[in-house]
Amino acid sequence: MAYKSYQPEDFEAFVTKHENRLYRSALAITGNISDAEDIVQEAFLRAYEKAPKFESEEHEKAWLIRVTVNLCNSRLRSPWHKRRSPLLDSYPASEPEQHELLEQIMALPSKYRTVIHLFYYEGYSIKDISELAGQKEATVRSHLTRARQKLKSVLKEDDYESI
Amino acid sequence: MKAYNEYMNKISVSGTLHQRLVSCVDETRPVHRPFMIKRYTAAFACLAVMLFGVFVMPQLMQNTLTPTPGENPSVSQSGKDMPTPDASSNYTLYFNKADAQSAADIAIPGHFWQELTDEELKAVFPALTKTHSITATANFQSDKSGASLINIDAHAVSDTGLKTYILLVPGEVVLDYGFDAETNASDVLGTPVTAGYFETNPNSKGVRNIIYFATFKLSDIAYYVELDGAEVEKEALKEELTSLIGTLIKGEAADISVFHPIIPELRNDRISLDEARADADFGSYIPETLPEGFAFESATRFINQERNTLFINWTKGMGSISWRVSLLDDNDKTRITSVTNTKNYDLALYPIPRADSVPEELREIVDNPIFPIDELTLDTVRARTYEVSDAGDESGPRMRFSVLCRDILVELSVKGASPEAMFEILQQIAVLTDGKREVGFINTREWANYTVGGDVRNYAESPEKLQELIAFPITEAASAQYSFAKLGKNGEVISGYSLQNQQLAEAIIMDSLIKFSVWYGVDITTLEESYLIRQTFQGSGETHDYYAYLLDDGTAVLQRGAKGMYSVLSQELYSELAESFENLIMDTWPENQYTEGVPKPDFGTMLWMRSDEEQGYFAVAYQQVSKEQIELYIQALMDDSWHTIHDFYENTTIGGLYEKGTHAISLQFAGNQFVMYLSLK
Repeated sequence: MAYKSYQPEDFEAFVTKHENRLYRSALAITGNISDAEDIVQEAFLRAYEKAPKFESEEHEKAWLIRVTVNLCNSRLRSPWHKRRSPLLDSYPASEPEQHELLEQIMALPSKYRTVIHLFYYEGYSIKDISELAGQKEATVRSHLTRARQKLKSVLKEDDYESI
Repeated sequence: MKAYNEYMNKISVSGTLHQRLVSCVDETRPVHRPFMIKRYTAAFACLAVMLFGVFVMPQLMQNTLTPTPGENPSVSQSGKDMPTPDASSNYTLYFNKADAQSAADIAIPGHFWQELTDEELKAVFPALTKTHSITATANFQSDKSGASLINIDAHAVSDTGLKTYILLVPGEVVLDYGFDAETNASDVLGTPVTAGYFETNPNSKGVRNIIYFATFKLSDIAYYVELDGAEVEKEALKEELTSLIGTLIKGEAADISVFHPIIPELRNDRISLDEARADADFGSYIPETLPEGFAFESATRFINQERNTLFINWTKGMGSISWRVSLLDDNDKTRITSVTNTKNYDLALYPIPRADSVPEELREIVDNPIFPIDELTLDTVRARTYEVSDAGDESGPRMRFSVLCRDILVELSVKGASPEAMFEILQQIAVLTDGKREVGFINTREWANYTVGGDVRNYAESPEKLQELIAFPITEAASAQYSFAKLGKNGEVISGYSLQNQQLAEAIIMDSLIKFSVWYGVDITTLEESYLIRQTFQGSGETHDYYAYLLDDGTAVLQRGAKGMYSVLSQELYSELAESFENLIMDTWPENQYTEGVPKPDFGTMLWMRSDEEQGYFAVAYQQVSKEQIELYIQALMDDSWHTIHDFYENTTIGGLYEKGTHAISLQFAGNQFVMYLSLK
């Protein structure tokens, strides 16, 4: 698939299909709306410019998430990035329980938040995440374990499934 | 994690963001914007808005536009709150609302520009120059066949201080995109004018700005005008823009035949490393060797009226060294810092994120400080180094800063090379500027620019200017005076003199400068003994200090600056320098042909004496002398029948030439020192 050959309506369909997923991932990792918006836009621009050939829907989704994760890391790595307002101020949680969990997740280092989001929300395996984030499986496993330990007080028992 | 998933599921992109994402591929990406036409960015952004106004705005209107005749200009705004047109208006201009703003990414080969003279302003804005203060720039496109006018962008300031942007384009506006839509226009003094306005999003303080714009055509010239300001001022903005459009139309079309542009030197070339090294202006500022593993990637030579740069990039995997050489720009000067001022550059003082930790007023300099090359130390480079440990990118040290070699700026941005390695290659630049460069310097345009205090090419404008260059008083720039001092421990002055021993000083300095190799210098204050030669350029008052001393193995060297680099100095010249101090005898007042009949000063402490039979004089210096003592001494000369040839008295300085018979005395007093030269007629 090459988006330069797409008609505008095809590109819009492509954006519509993936925008929420990418936006949520970027929000989870950066914790900031304006960063997330910029990153998602950049991710779609790269998709348009590079026009990669995707083998499948899953491949398409994974490629976009990998680009988004890399862009988030670049943004967070910049020594000049601003300290951001908490995500929960922008998107308040509806339930107290949800608020407590989100507060603890957003207090985690971004590398833990990345793993948590990809594992629990996107449903990727440790192996998948290692490929998406460009890290060793052991590193991802370690990050997930540490993140869960930090979240232990608010995580339910069923979240401790075997990894 | 059910709660987390539920929370995330509720988050969706907004309609605005969706629109932004869908249209992002049509928008300009800042990283791709050609850097040569920064002033063009605004112009084309405006053109984009103009097209929006011309083609799209009418579609967005809810109401039909109706030109309304009347006596005086007035404005109105479409929408629910559109006022009834004033029946007394001469014309009514309707502003249609735009809901998007975009810009094109256009590179213009051979672009250059020139500011409009008063005469040109009158020709282009015949009526508006009477009511507004105008500044304008004409933009040209050039190739081998010549130059053609692309557009004129101008700013017109009203009596009330409102500043309107005006763009004039000969013929039709041509962009690489457009909107296919119906157009509607208001009638202004018989000229169709399409106008619109754009509301920005509220800024962090909740203030929203409004941009009013309009386009029309006079003869073959397309006009675009734009005025923006806070929403609360919108009535004044509309009135000003309406009035200004009326004035432009009354003044009729611009006369663009008044321009006779001279095409400046323009370059934007991809060049090889060899070509870069051979570059007459900047080739000498490229290091010969790079940290291990780094390979040449690309080089670009760019010249226009604003920037004159040589950019080189070396890479090593994901690591890179970006090296940019340019002439120091006035805008860069605020980033120059001494290495002693650590708050301007030491990253250890500012935790991440630096947007929070660096004070606003220091952000620019902390982001990219400029160090004089002579001051640069390894610690300075280390202070600019930071580490990145995230996965997925080059780990290891990074740094960004600049060094200044005279008026040449070398900016570097590094990923994956150690501070030690970078300091090492920067020393190659120091060598070039402190040593070898001085020799090659005299044959380059850089030297010519330095000598005339500007771009020497400007003298090619006319035969008269060329004549000015030929007659340039070059000797003044090159003329220097020298003073000498012998230093002891902690840099203490043991003895000093300021005799006109220019020949020896220049021989010493030149002997050292022609040496190719230089080494890191020492802290002069740690030496037991050294000699200072202070070079002072007349006119500019600029001084350079050189220190001559012996290394542990007895090698004579000359060091530039108290903490600069040194090179080997001829042993003979060093001995001659040392001897010149040994001749400064500190003894009692001698009885010789020069002192015969001269009253002996009985005040102060003798600093040195020197007798030179070849030159025919005897000199003696005293310190801890007061002005009153000198005045009494001169009075004693007068009482002893010495004649004043000439003298001068200033606040703290006294001097004079006195004669008696075959003897002459020249006196100089300044500070608390007194030098007396005795000679025979």
